[in-house]
Amino acid sequence: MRAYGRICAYMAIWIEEVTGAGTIDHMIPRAVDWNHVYEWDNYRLACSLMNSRKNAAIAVLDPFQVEPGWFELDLVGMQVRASGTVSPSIRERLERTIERLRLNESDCREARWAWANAYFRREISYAFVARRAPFVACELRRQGRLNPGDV
Amino acid sequence: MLESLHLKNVGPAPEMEIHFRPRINLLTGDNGLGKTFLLDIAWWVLTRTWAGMPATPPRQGWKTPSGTERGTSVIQYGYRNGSGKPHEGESLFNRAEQSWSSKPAHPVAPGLVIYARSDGGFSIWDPARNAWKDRDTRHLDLPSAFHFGAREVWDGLPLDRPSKLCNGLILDWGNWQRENGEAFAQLVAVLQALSPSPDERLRPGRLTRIDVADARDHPTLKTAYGQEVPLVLASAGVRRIAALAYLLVWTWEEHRRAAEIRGVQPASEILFLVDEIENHLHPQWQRRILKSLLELMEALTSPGTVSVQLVATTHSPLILVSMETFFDSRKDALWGLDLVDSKVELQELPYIRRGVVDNWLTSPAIGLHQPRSLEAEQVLEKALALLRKTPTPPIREFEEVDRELRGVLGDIDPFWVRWSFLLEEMRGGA
Repeated sequence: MRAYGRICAYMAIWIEEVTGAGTIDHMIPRAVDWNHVYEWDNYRLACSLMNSRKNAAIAVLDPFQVEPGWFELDLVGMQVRASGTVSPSIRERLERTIERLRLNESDCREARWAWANAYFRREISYAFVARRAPFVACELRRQGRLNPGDV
Repeated sequence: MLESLHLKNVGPAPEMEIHFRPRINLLTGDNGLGKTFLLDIAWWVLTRTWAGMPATPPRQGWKTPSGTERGTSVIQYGYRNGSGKPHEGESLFNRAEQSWSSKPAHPVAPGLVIYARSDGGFSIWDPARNAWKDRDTRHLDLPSAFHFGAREVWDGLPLDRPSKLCNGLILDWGNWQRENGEAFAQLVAVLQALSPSPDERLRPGRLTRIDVADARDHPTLKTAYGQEVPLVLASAGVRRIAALAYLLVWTWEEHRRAAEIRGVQPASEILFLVDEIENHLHPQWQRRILKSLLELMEALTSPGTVSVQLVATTHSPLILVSMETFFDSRKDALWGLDLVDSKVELQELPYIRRGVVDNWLTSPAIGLHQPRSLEAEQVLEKALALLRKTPTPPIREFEEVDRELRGVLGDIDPFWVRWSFLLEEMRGGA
């Protein structure tokens, strides 16, 4: 857990430590059940939104198999999409993942937008985005959208 | 078309004035500020019958700057008849008689009026059946309006007499379906127009018995999962809409016949008064219902022959957002009843495209501070107040609010983005 920071494996966004009813305790590992060993949520940290969609996630991509550059971010609609360079079979799996996890629903798009917007308005630093929303940070850099002066 | 109401010394405010638009008029506001009251008055002005309790001025009178005073209670109104000629009138409250004055030539409604009440009942006024210049000489045993309680819509009006003004949905629907004539075709068309979505159409199934103790064949609806569900057992939302569909077909059919017998033109307008238009409807359905009502008459008659005016109350942001694509300020308006300095005020609210339902929840029409739980709203308002303070308060105050935020926000809530950055900077600088 410590190795991944507190980053959601599916949204690539920092998971704040929240308390009280309706929250998920991410820190307690589940007992290993061999029937469920391929379900992500047993060993991949997920925010509560993704956790609520975990049933849909069975048998889609394991986030740890995703290679850099497979996913891209549309910086207008804040949607994730498969990169134009991946093979058709990987594209199919990426698209199925996006659909199953509903990664482009408005709640997910809003969450990404909050990071990009705060960065564009210089309310937060690039280093902070890189630490807390690494996918958004990575795409901002790749698409040449860093604020002047940032590297 | 109902054009205006101007009330003095009656209802929740000393004075209320509203100028209706010709198509959609939505009334919003907190519970108890007089939305239903305005519908009741509109109904009374047009039909001279009360659909619920008659409006009576408050007995203690209104407080005025010079002390308590009981002014004359007046209902002024304006309407336009079918040919577009404007009419104005007023009615005074007679305290001794405890009734509102009325000229014998009334009622005034230029077309059909259908009032869907929030208790599941309906009131219907038909110019061809309920309007007679000389009440004494008419030999027909017709009431001055048709008031259906929730049960009478289904089982017939009146419930307790063998001769019926209306057979009710269960018998009529069954008869129409067996005849398979025009009435049934109209019912099918109206049901389709009122359906929640194209893939979720309300379609009649086969008639069925539901109980050995009930000799009636009951109407059913086909469901998406293949079964045919007796209408009386369908969801509350489906029942309300089915009742409206049935009553509309019944009203229109009977109206046409009566108009023909009396040698007058069928009505060229219909006014819908709908209390809590979203009642029992799923959000998907709420987003379609306004447009469905506007286009409903096209299922019964050729387009353009009957104009529709709608006055509806709502608490639903989905109803409000649903108008964004077709709102026309010449035809439609949004009204808000609000409490200002302990006084009820009625005013027109600007209707703009707010885009998402959240923005409607925080708009003056609904008036939440945050589209969140009450507790989250309170903590967020606290955080915002802290951020407004100058000079910046000590970090421990932020840490305190931070702990509270963790008890109310989700783990990737957009509010964290700036908040956590700020706190990290503060902690780093400390």
